[in-house]
Amino acid sequence: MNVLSQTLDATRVVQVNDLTVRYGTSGPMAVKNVSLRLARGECLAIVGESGSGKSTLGLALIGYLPATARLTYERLSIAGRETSQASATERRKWWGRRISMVYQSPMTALNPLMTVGAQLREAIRGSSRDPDAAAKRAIAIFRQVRLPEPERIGTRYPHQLSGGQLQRVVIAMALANEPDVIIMDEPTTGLDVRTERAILELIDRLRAETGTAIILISHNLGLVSRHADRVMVMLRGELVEEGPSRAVFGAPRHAYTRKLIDAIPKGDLAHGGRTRAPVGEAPTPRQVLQVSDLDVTFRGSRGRQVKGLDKVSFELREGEILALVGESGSGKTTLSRVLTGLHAPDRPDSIDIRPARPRSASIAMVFQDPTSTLNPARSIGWMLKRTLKLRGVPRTERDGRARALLRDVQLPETYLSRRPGQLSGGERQRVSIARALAQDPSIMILDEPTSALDVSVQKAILELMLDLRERHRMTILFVTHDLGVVRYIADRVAVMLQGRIVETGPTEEIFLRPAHGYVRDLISASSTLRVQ
Amino acid sequence: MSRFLLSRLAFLFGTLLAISLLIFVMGSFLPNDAAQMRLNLYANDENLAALRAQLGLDQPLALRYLRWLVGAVQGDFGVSTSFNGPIGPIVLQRLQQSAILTIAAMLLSVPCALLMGTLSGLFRNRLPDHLMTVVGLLGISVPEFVVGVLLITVLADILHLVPAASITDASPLAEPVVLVLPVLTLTLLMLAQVGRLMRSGTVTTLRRDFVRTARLKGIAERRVVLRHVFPNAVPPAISAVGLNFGWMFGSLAVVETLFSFQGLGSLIVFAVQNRDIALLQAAVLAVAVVVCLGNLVADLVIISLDPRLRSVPHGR
Repeated sequence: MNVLSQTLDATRVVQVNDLTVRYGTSGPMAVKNVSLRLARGECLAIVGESGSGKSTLGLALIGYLPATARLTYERLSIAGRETSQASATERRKWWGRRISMVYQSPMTALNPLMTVGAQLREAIRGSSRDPDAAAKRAIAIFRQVRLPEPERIGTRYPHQLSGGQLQRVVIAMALANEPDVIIMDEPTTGLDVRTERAILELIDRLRAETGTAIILISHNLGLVSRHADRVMVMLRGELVEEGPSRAVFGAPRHAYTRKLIDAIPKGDLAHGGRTRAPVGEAPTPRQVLQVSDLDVTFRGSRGRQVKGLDKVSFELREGEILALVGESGSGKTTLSRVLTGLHAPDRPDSIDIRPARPRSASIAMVFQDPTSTLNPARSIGWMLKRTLKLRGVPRTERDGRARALLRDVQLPETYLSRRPGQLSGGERQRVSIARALAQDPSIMILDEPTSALDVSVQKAILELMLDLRERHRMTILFVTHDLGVVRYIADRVAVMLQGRIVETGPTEEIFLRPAHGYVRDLISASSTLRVQ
Repeated sequence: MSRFLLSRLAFLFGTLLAISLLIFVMGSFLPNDAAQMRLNLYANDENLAALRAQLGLDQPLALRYLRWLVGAVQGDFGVSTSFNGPIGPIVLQRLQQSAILTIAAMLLSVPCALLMGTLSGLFRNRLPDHLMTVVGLLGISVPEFVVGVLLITVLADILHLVPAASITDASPLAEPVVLVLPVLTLTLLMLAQVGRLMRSGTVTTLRRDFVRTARLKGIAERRVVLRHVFPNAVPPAISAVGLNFGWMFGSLAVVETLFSFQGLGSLIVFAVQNRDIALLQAAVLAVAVVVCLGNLVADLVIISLDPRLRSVPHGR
């Protein structure tokens, strides 16, 4: 090794050449010949859809892959040390010291039986030799990640903190020994937009303060475009594009990168160029749902009463798409549970449903995760036909109707004999929608129907919703926290905060002139792509 | 917490009340009542009627139950026909003997089961795991009287290490050697179920995200296991200990008879053989109380381990 390459190594905290990961001896390659380098203080984003190998790459770098994984590489060095020469125990010593990790879901990443303070302190090097110093350092780190009451928060257990606070604790643990590089695997997925923004600002600031390099693994291109210096785009284990983030997002060279960028729902492309439902123009479509002063009270322990919904009022007109927006805990899910009849409102007369067609079911529901809501043991045809049977469709007509339903959701008829396990995530969500359509509902409620899907699939599902609205005059209540999706699909928006609807109006109106402070916050924090 | 404890205690008393009713009613349906047993050969209709009136057996069932319950609460279970003396002290003395036996078995089996379960979870599909599986299957599939006879044959008859019969006039604590065989038999029974649950708890906990977090913090694997894996893996095993404790008490009848140990289990067998219904009712009630208390203790241990259960749950 000559002098020049040594000096280069000093600024390079991670360098990998031709890394390949395969599961089993003959299994598919999860990562194919990927080379990667990372300079001190740099933020490198690895983007790609699920299954692209981005998470595997992250775990390969830190050295925590299952025993079945086979790694080959020409060179792998972390913080200027070759890991190929390091023994397993030596490599373990780097964990938390040279390289550490922040995970997707902070709630499951923390031990529920230990206080967050104890979990941070044990991450601090030498904490068993000098507990007092470790305790002082823990408070300092809690302060550094901007947790409230840093002196006292350590005595609390994970279930007593919010999702955002928990992720700060996980980041605090990753920072404990000032590592050279932190790998962040989808660090804000599952957090609401305001918390996401706060966490990312924290990461930016810590990077500037400590000079720690960051590998940001994400599928959220908007987020990446605003925070990463450099971007690597992965497709099926291969690196298809790499470059400074402005260059990649401003002038993507690879077709797949362009596809990813195009798939992000953007406000100016509202309704994919289709016209919105006429608002306030005659003739006004008939009302299918009237909710007036809906209250839901939960009884807590010791007779304490908690308001789940507080005087919620809105209406839905035929063929309209209303987006229900709000962060977790704002009452969105409670509202959809009450509308579907899974939870009783305080006064039954506060909900008035007027069926669109005689004998049509009132409300059908499509859930967030199609994998867990479709019975894996049954064929798609069986599910659709059973729903039709429950709707009273005669046996002879069921097969034809089931085929028509699959055509409605743009799936081939051959799928009747398939089981959910043989379908992709997007196809499964189409089946869920077909099953909801089979009930011939007046209103469809979709609860975050695209948040478990990749961006390219997400757009196709949204197109399908618009198509259904156009062809079937379907009335849709769309529950989401993704404002990009809202702007793409919704005619009107209702924003929820602490069990109340704080603002409602036509989509463009809300986005251009948000009246409520919370709505303004939400819009400015939402992830739109930054391209210059 | 205290609210929870109160509701659990209320629940406990309800359960015991129901059990006492069941025990009493079933006892009263057995052929040969106390009057018949006492008169034995001298029983004729006239004598029986007189004694039944004297013992209050001619009164309605509900009233008899109430009187029995009021007595039982005060420790007065009536008079044993076979011992010719008050039942309370007899049951209490036998309860002590059995408690010593069971607690000794718990003290040996619980740590063993937790240790073996954890090890076989950590070394899944390797030698410690296979050994544990064999021991566990033996414990589950071979009945206690077979295990007991095997132990007697090997340890007492062949090796002459311990006496085959555990008869002792004094407390078993004064002569601990008599405990060896019954304790070993009970331990084998317990190892199986608790060990299997501890193993599966360990295996599932090892897959949880926070274990990865702990390892990637760079802390020693021993600490990962002790602080992160074990506390999260142990609750199902503790519930099983609570259930097994009752089950162990239930199987005392067999084990104590086998080793001629003078405990509650052999007392129940004796009461059945001699149709001493009042004695049987009292002994079975004592077993029920111990079983319920055992489960309560197991629940309290689990709650004390988990901060989510310790704090007052609030409505969503």
